[in-house]
Amino acid sequence: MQVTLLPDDIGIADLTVSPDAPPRSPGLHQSDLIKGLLKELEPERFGKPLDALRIEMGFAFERMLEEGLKRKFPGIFRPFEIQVEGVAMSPDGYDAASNTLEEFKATWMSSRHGIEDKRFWHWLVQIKGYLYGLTTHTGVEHTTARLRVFWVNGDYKGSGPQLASYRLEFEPREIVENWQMLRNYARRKGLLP
Amino acid sequence: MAGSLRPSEAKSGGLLDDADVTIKQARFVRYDYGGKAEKPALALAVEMVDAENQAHIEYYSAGDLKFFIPTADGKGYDTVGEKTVLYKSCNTIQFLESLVKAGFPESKLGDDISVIDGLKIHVSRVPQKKRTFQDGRKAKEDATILLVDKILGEVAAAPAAVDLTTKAIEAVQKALAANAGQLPAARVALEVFKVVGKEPHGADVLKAVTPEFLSAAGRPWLFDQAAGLLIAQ
Repeated sequence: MQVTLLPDDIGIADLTVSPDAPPRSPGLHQSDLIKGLLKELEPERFGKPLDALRIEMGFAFERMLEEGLKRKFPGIFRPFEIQVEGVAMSPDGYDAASNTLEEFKATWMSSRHGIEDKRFWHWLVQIKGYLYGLTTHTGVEHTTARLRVFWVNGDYKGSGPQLASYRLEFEPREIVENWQMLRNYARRKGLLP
Repeated sequence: MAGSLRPSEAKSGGLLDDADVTIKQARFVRYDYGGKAEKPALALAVEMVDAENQAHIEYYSAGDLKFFIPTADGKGYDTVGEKTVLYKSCNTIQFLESLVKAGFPESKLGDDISVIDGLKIHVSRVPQKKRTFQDGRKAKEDATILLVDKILGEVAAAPAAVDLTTKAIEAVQKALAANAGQLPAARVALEVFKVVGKEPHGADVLKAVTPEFLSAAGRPWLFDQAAGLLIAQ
């Protein structure tokens, strides 16, 4: 058998999953705030450029899960971009039957520490931000989210890939404090008046 | 394998250049250049869509936020300090100058940049003019800027305006139908969100559902303000 490595005729751009997502508006997004915050807090981990292939894999997972959930639970949809106090945010999904935010993640980190581990702090910041946005937008308190995680390498101890869903319930106070933190960061950086 | 030297076979790099694009949306924003700038500044964010339907956002610096801030809708900027107009050398003005030079009537450029939304243009990357910033820094030697060199088509006629009132009435009716014909006023926005949450104009429809809208005469529902209840008719 002869094996020849072929020249690069496929790149990241070819892998891009055509997003069915609402167009991202220019301007300040919650993800910009969280990224900036993480670079300050953990420059070693978040100061480096992200791995584009892993990002695309993450998008691919989000789209597949979005389609799958829509088929199984017709009440779940991807909502329009929400604007809150000058910050745009795009939740992955919303379950109209239970007023629950849906968020999807794919990660190469180990599942064995659980999502309350500090490694996943930024996921919770993002989710609480979305819940604040939904509350502000609808006038009805949103405190519950469902987080669906594809642990690509599972627990790294022989589990293999794992797919898990978590129900997260927050105190309203946690959601407001989280938003104040993001807003304060934005103001400190001059991104919000 | 020997690599080709033919320019016609070369693949475009990450930066947009020498391309036919449509300006999807141009808006003023606060921008910190992805964290690269020491502090955010006013910038013109021009979202361009190329022939392969790929979107690119080009940010053109406009000025210091001490003097200029974007308006709430991003269609213009407000002056908040002693400066009243943008510097001629800033990237936003260079971009707009190239647009005018290519044939866009300057008279149409008032205080609303959205007049260029939908414009089809050809853009090329050119070396940045040598310039010194207000704080004495000099621009990078190899800096480039994406400018307009040709206008390919006028702004497409705006699509028929969405009748938000009609859409909002329909949405409230659907929300009422899904809730046995009545809704506490405090839950109307949530139930309307569930109806229009994934629609292209959903956010605008939701915004239109105000207490004044709900209590306006001639609506196909009763709004019992004392009981805080909306009842289908």
